[in-house]
Amino acid sequence: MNKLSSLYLTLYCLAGLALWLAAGMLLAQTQPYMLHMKAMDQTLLRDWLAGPALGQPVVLVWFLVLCGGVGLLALNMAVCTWTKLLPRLKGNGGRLRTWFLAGVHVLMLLVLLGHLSQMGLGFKLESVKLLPGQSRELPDGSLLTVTETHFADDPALLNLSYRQGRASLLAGVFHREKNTASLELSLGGRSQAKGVLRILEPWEADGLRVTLAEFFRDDSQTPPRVGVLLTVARNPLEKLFFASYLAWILVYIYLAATVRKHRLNHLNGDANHES
Amino acid sequence: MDWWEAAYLLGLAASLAAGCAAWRRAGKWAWLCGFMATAGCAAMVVHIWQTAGRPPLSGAYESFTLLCLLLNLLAFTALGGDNASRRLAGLTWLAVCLVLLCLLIAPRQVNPDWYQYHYFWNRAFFLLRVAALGFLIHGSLAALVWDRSAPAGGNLLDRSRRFLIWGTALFLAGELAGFYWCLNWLGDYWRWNRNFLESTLIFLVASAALHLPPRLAGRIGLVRTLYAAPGLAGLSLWLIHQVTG
Repeated sequence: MNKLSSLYLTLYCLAGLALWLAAGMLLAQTQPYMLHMKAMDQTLLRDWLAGPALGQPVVLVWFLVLCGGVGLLALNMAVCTWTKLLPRLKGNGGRLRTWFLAGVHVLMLLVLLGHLSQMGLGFKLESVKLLPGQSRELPDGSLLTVTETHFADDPALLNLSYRQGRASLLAGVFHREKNTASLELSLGGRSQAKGVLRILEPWEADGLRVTLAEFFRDDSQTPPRVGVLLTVARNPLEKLFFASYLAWILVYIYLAATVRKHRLNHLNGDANHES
Repeated sequence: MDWWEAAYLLGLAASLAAGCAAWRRAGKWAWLCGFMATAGCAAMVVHIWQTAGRPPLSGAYESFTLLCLLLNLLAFTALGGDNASRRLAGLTWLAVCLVLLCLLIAPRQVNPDWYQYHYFWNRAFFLLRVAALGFLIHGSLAALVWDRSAPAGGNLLDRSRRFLIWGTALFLAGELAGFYWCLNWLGDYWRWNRNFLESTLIFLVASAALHLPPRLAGRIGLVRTLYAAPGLAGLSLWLIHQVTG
């Protein structure tokens, strides 16, 4: 138990994970691993692990080692909170800072739990490409239909790469609020919900979140039609993640504002000795 | 020469002069040159705001300018107060000069006004990221500098630690804003790409500095190195990022 709650273990985990992330950054910029990592974004990681990951051993091993490191860090944090930080509350029950110090670790565990849920709970479909009138069946059996798209700007602005888009989709040229897509969600032929979607304004219905990433132009017909690229996801713990993260930051700010000077006095003493 | 180009040259020259003056403990000159360097950077920020109709956000010219303005202000805070250190102020101004020097090779032009720059969470992400970087860099410099005239007996680790924690808090706030922007744009708050891994790496390095076992916490050289690491890592990664796109 002592070893599991040790600050040395914390330090080794943090340093090891930092190095491992640096390796991941290199992978993310090298072909073909860049494409393999992009595939991780397309679905829930649960589904990626069950399918595409098996054909991408380098990225799979990198990811599994990363998970192992984060798991060990989470265990270390949980044991340290349980055996060291929480017992301190009895002795220093009146000190708000002691509570907040324990709180920041508990909240970090909740944030990690939220991350875990994002990997495995619900479902996620990315890059769902639909033209008006087209539908996509969702994993829960419901049907998502794009009933209409309205693109008020010049269609020549569409089908650009990310970099081209950043240079061309300018505030005075691309009017985000005017470009919309109408959606309908149905189950067994019965309409469940209808909504209008814009870029940066997702549509939420019954725990389902539909996000409009971009419009695209279909040149196979005359005149060309404008369709949408959607992400459809359901994650029951998404709000928990954001709430925990916000609380985590607020506690962090409190700790920053009340950082104690005397903790470093012994260091100053050592420094004076050295000098 | 355009007025903002003159402002850039003023910022560059004055920050170098302020850094040297503060380092040599020429207090009045440090204040005067520091004020001129701040005025130069502030004028560049005004130019960006006038041109784009928004605050400086992303890209080398915009983010370097905003970072330099913040570092200028932090340098002034090092000239007074409990942990006053002219050497720290000097080093901070020299860091401003170094960052501004990068703009000699990077294009000094405002980014095209991408429509997403007008989204609140996008702005919050970029602004908080630069603010966090400024605090982390200043915290790093406080750990590295050794000033016998400082009230703490040459040791500015107390200030370094405070800036490290504030920098991390600002960094996390920026991450949250970025997550929310990403969620509403791409449908998920996390992406498996270099940017997200890089952010997590900086947070882990900062966390490592704040979790020293008591035995190691007594080794002054190690503590100074670890406190300096987040700001230096953040600055290096950020410069690489700007250069490689």
